[in-house]
Amino acid sequence: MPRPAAPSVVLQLVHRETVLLIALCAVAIAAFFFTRAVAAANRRLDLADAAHWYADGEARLRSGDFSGAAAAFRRASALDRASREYRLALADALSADHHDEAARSVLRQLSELEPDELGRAAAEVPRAPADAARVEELGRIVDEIFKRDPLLAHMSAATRRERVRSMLDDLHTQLAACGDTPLANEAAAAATEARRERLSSTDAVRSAIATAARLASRASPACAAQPVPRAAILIARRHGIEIP
Amino acid sequence: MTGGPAYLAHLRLREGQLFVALSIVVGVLAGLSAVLFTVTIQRTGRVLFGLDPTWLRLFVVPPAVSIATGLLLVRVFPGVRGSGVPQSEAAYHLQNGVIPPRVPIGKFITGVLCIGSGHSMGREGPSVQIGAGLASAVGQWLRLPPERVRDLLPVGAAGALAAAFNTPVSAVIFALEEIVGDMNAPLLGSAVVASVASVMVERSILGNEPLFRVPTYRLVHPAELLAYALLGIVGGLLSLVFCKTLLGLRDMFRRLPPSTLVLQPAIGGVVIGALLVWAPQVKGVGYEYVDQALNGGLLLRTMAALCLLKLLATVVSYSSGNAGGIFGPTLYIGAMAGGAVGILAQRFAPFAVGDPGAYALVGMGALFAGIIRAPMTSVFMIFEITQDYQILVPLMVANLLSFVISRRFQTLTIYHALLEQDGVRLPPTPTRA
Repeated sequence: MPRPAAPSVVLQLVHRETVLLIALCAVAIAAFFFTRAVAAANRRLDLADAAHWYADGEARLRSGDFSGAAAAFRRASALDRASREYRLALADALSADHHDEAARSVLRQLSELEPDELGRAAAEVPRAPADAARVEELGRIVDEIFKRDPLLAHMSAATRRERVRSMLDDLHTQLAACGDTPLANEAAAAATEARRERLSSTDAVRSAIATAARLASRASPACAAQPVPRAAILIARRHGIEIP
Repeated sequence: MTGGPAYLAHLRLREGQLFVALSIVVGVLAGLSAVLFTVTIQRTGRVLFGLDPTWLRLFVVPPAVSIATGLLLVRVFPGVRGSGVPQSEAAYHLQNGVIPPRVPIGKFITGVLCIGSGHSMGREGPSVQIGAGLASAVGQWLRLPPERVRDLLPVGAAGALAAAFNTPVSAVIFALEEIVGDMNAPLLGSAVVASVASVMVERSILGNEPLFRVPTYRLVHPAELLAYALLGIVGGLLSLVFCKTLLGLRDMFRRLPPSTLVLQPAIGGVVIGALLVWAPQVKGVGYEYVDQALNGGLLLRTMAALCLLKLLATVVSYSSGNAGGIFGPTLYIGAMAGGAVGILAQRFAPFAVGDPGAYALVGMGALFAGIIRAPMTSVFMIFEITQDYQILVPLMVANLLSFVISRRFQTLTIYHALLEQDGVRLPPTPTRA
């Protein structure tokens, strides 16, 4: 009768597999610590390389090579993705090199990385030393004007229209919230007119921006400091649009 | 006979428990292998090219290293050329899941050398073969029944891919859709367990950093779906160009005399070296440039040029017999093509259009659906990267069009066409019907 022997065979098999499984776990634990050590060494090398590229970017920025600086800061950010210092420097170099969209995107990444980052970056800007033009440019970006600017390069007529209309609508909402009722009504009328018009020419878009900037500049100081009125004024200034 | 069924049920329970435990261990080992593979590739690339390589170094390193890998691939580790996904599929369907233990070792070494030396290839395919090979080796070592060894293979593949791409859900779907060929396979639970174990290990070592930083996107205007449909058509056509040129050039290399087999990777290396001098952005995996495309950091002409150059570089690297995958390059080409289409749409569309980065993201999925032809994986993968429902509708539109165009003009998927070139024909499965 072979049956009585079967459980012990099974037990032997199970025991064998258990022992092998434990051995496998030991191998996996050893492999984990080995891999972690290798990854940590690689990480240290990456951080050293990132610091090198950051220093290189700063040197290029000082010499006026904005494009080279942006490339160096980009490498630094790729190697140390957690560093907000590298990303801010990248945004700075990109905006100095007139890559506004790319600069805005880098700052947007920062703000998504840490929700309050954009505000903190904005707070830091006035304390930033040296080149005032670049600092001013960074400040403009941080104020999210690029989200609203209808006159950025490579933009279709439809996107421009959409941006003008949304800027006027948001301005109306903001002015109404501030209690500037007459100005809010004017903004509402301008938004309605913008919805009716095709706004196909650049002049028409500039005219709409001028209207928005005019209304924003007439608002009370507290209201004019709000994001939408501030953006309208900065966009007008940025494109040399005279505010009536 | 009364004790018989109870005794068998007891045995089955034990076996089931053992398989779950093995799935966890295999997932951990596969994840570790994928992490080590990634880190070693980075380190090798840093050693070979230095911090800021000269044009001479860019030109010389790929062919020089390819001579060594050519020798290894012919003399020491035959059968580890190329991606590793089709080989894993063949092992699952035709060899009862048996992969010789030297295959994952060989794939690791040659993959590191090829990708680290600048060949335009991906690390995900080799990671899949390494993970599958480790799983098979574990099964053989434990002397599991043949069907259990076979079952472990996709479990290891899912674990490796989950760690390599940091996308646990799409790794499971890819293992079922591509390797097993059946989305309803009973292996789902084990693959999920392995995938989770693998990602936990990967994140504990490399941190919880996503592979790409992707801003939140939204559909700006309903008519924008037309632009995404155009992207799907472009993706389908690019997929066809990629598949046809890769298969055609690979066939040409295969027709060369067998004595040239050792030197073929170096021939590809010379072309890659010349390309790197001109466009170092196509070097290796190149995910940092994908990240730039996703975040609007590249110009139209840069993205258009990189799309074509990466396609050329990948076709040359792969068809000349180097060890590396097409999964990563597919995403790279898709991101560049998508970003370029996005910028063109922004310039010329008569309706409001979103960020070009959104198009780059959808382009990745469209090319994946067109080249790899794993439509479920392509949708879930992009969804997992973005974790954003808003992108799903445009993604599905583009993926579907790309998939349909690719299937209409290229009957076999790229992986199966590659196997057929090697004289291997897989049996039909539900996802391959």
